[in-house]
Amino acid sequence: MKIERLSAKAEDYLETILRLSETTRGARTGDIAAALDVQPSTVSAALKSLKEQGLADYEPYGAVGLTPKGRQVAEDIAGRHVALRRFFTDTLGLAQEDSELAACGMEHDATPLVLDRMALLGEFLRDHPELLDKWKSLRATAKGERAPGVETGLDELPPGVRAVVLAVDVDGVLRKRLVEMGVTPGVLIAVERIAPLGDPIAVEVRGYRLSMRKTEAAHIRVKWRPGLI
Amino acid sequence: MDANKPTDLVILLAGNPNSGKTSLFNWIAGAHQHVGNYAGVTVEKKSARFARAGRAIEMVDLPGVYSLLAASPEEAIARDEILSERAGVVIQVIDATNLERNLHLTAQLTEMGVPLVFALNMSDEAAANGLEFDLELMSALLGGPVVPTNGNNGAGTAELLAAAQRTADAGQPCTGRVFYGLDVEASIAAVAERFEGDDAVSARRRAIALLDGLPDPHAPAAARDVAARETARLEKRGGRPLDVQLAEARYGFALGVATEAVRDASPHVRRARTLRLDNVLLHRVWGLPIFVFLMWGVFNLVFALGEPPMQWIESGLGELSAHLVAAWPATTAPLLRSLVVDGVIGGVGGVISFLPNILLLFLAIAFLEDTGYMARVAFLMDRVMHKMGLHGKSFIPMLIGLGCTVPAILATRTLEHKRDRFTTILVAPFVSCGARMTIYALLIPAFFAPRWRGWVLWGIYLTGILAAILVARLLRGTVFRGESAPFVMELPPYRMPTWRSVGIHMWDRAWMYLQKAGTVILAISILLWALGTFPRRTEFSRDYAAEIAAAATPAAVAAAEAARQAEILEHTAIGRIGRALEPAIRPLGFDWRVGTALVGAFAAKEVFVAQMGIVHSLGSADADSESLRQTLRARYTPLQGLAMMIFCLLSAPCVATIAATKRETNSWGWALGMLVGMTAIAWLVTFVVYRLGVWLGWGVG
Repeated sequence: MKIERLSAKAEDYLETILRLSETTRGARTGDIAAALDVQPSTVSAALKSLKEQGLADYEPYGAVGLTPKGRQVAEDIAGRHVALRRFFTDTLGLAQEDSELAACGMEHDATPLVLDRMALLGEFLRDHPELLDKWKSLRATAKGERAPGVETGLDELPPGVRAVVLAVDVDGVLRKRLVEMGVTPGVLIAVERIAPLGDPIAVEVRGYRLSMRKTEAAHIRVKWRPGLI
Repeated sequence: MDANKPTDLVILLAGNPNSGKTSLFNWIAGAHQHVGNYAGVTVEKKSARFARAGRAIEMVDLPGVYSLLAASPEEAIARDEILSERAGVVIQVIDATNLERNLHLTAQLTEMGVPLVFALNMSDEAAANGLEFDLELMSALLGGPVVPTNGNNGAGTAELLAAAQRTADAGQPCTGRVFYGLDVEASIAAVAERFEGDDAVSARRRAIALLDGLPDPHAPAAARDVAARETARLEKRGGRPLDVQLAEARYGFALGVATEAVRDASPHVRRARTLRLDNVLLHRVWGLPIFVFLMWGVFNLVFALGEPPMQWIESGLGELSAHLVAAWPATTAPLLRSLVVDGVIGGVGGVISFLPNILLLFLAIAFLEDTGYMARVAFLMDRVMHKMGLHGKSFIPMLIGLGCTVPAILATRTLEHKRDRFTTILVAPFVSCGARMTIYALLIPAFFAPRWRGWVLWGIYLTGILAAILVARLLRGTVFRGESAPFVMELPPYRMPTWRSVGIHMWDRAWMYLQKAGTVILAISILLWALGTFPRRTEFSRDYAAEIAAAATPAAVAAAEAARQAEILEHTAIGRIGRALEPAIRPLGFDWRVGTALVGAFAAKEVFVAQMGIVHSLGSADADSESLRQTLRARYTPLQGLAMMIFCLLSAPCVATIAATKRETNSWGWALGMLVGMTAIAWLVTFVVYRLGVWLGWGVG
């Protein structure tokens, strides 16, 4: 069956519902919200849309189910997700958590051809142990080995790295201004560039760009992991 | 349409800055618009009255805001206008390419209890970026009709107005759409109960505002108590400040609607152009050279391109007065003749000779703002300007100040926060303007050897900039003390401005200058004319008429005429003020002649040169007058020459600057404070320099 291409967000929902509906509790709005780290109000809105597209089905206060069409899409994505994750852990030797995150990001865009070639490369290496060993020693010396998460002020976040906002540690006008511009706990943020004279900085948040002085950015506590972009 | 006719419907236009709100307003309002200020503040008010479908409509373009929490004058005005009950309907202009943050404002608007209509602006740009909108679903989620519009070509404005009228007629206020979570909702209800006199919508809104930590002096004490208690409870429970939690919920709503009603077919296309441009324009190495080049372009556009029309205006006015002088015999009503020729025409010249510069400046500013580069100027320059006690956006006014202080002060409009803006206005006159250059051009060659001239000129300019920095820091430490306004500023996507919106913007500002600053400049110019004319001298120490009649050479005629003029000027109020000032300026090394020229310079700085010529009996002089230089060399020491330049640099700015300051601060207090403060600073600095020089024996020989 040919299904019209869904948005990445819709695919994430389907995948999450599929995963949760396999538990005894079933997929509930609150759990979906927690799993995707969004507001429950967002989930209900999204579910409404999925329902209208004939992909999901739910009753108020009940568990969410998938229609056959929705299940097929979800399983397709889950399949891609697993294939990608396996490639990242087995072939690239990335840590479980990094593989998971990277798979989440790529599962929507990876075409069957990309997946096929990835699988082919994995098989090729398994069939040639001497090459596999060489590759393993090379990747062991390469940088980017998984490091623990780092908590810092936004002013010290390296440019281009995505981080999660933990808190806005300041009172008064500045905090109000920052949160109303969308810098709230839980949101993803990245330093896009630093001004040529070293201050202020430009950050990307909620799909737009914001500039602030480093002294202001220092109040925004973020968490990031070296090696993960 | 008659402006006094009562209006049937008031439509307010609300939205984020950079949402294209004003260009949409320009399309709808066209030539009907009127620009003014809101009462008591310097926030620009744009409104228009027009008729549509037989109804008299008033449309108000509210200031662009990110929030309605009333943290800035703009937010307070937007909020008060929306709540004033005058508004039949509020249209929110939403930038379709930046839904999430735009919808955060929607979250607050839905709580205001007014009928809402949404203009999904730049939806074509968003569609080109791969976004698809489900308008029906969106309007169901937001609680008001959503109409796609395009501020660049006016598409959708007719549908928008029709939807606004329908919504206003239905009169159904949008009710709060944000669910803050069970716990917070319970607290909101508990606080809202205490607003006994209010209806449900208003009670909820005020309860949320209290919980958001906003002052509400009219709230019942009980409501404030409950709010304080609930805030403490919710902050303990949530582990973070309550205003943060409320903002999270609003963004939750925004994200929900954005996720729901939009299909993002190709998220990677988005903002690729802006990113590419910023990679060049904000480049670590090339960003600053490009910036310097662009600013050089702006400066030249304003002053080099403005120079010829300025000269046309001046020569046109010169010809006009020449014709008048020729047609109007000196013997009939000589006073009125002088008033018209010297007072009125001179005054009008003082007003409109700035006009080419001002039009071009606003053209440049409109272009920089509409393209999105203005925010980058602040981004690039903030480090330096912040060290000076100013804001990144103060750079442009200071740069323009090198040409002329009047447009520089008008250029401070781009600064959002009052503290930054007022500081910039008050220090802008310290930057040496073009008119002061004529003073330096006269005095420096008169007193300094050729190899020192360049250095002295540099020194004077640097002294001005240094004074600006010190005064800015002083102001920030005293008058404008307190928490500095956050720099946190959007870097909007680059957009190509339309000529229409740039043109309207330019014309509006120029018209406001003519109306407001122009009348003041004209009035003071006429006053100065009167001071320079009265009392009139009728008896002279010598019989000049006979001398002129008997003179053998043209030079002798000129000498006699110049001496006569000097006597006349000495006798007038300006001459007397100059003399009366002598005790006050003697410690600076100035005599009454310098005092007279300084009083005259208040009309315009370059008048100093002309007046110096007259008081030294050399006739009206200009900056290249070698005979005046010789006289000055004979009468004053180089140290006194330097003192004159320093005093002219720092002292009371010209009439036009005072008028512009009054206009932009909306207060005579600041304008007169500037006058007095700058004169005091000039006196002190000149005193120190002169006395130090005398003590060290420098430049006195």
